[in-house]
Amino acid sequence: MRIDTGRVVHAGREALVVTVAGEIDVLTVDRLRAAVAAGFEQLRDGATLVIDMTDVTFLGSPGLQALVDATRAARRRSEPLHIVVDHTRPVIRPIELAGLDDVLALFHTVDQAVPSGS
Amino acid sequence: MPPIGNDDSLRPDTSPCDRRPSKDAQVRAPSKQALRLQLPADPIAPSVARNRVRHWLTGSCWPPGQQEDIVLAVSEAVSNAIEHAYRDGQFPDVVDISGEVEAVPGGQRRVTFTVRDHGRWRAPPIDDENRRRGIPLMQACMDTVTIGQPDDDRAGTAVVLRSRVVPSLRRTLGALDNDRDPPHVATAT
Repeated sequence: MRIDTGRVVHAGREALVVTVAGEIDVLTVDRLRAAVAAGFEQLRDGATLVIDMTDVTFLGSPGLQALVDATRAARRRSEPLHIVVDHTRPVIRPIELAGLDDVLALFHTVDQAVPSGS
Repeated sequence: MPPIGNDDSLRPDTSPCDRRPSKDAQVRAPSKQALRLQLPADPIAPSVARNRVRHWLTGSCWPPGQQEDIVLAVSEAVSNAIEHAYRDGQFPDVVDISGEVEAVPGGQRRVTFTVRDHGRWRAPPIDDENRRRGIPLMQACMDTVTIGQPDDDRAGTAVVLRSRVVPSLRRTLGALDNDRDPPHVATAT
């Protein structure tokens, strides 16, 4: 699994994007959790934290739980956490099977996941 | 995926599931062997199991969408088995995985995987949301999921994952039976 974190500015609004690629399972999930925790720490006021899962090739229950926990943490902090999934890829299937498509804030692209200014 | 085109040199090793293998290609026979796999109860095990199960299902010409569900279910079962081993401190320990295809009347087939650990089964703790999430996920991916003691006296837990039915291998490969250019699948030697 590869993880990169970088700032993106879209339509005048800033997002911190955690880009994940590869397989998220019991072996790798702690790195995702650490990257999300670091993302919250680096998040500037008014910015959105985005997890881009477009290139994730496998997502099991440890990864689903990490996304649920991150979403709850974001709510506690009153900061938005947006998750980018390509609907044709193997990520959306486990999310839907677990009934989490109504729980997680899902978007198809990073641009859509960054709230537009004003 | 093999490249699609007329240049046979690009595809010297045609998939056994290819409905239109080139005449000159070396065509492997679809696998009919059962899968037997023993892995150390280590966090790398689910990843290894996924690769092996995916490869085996591909060799058995299993439909891709069904494959991904089965791979997910096996991965979840192997993850659970590792947790048993960790909790019980039984190292070194192993997880046994077997997969077998059975014919189903009406020109169909299904695959049954058994994932067996040697730790002690306990119901998921009420506060362990992760484990409580894994079992419904397996159930959503498979036709039936049975969790219980193995059928012998050994300690351990066997998770039996029975897939939904898919068209039989004959029907999968013979879909072009009425075509002018039937597939010529080499027999295993």
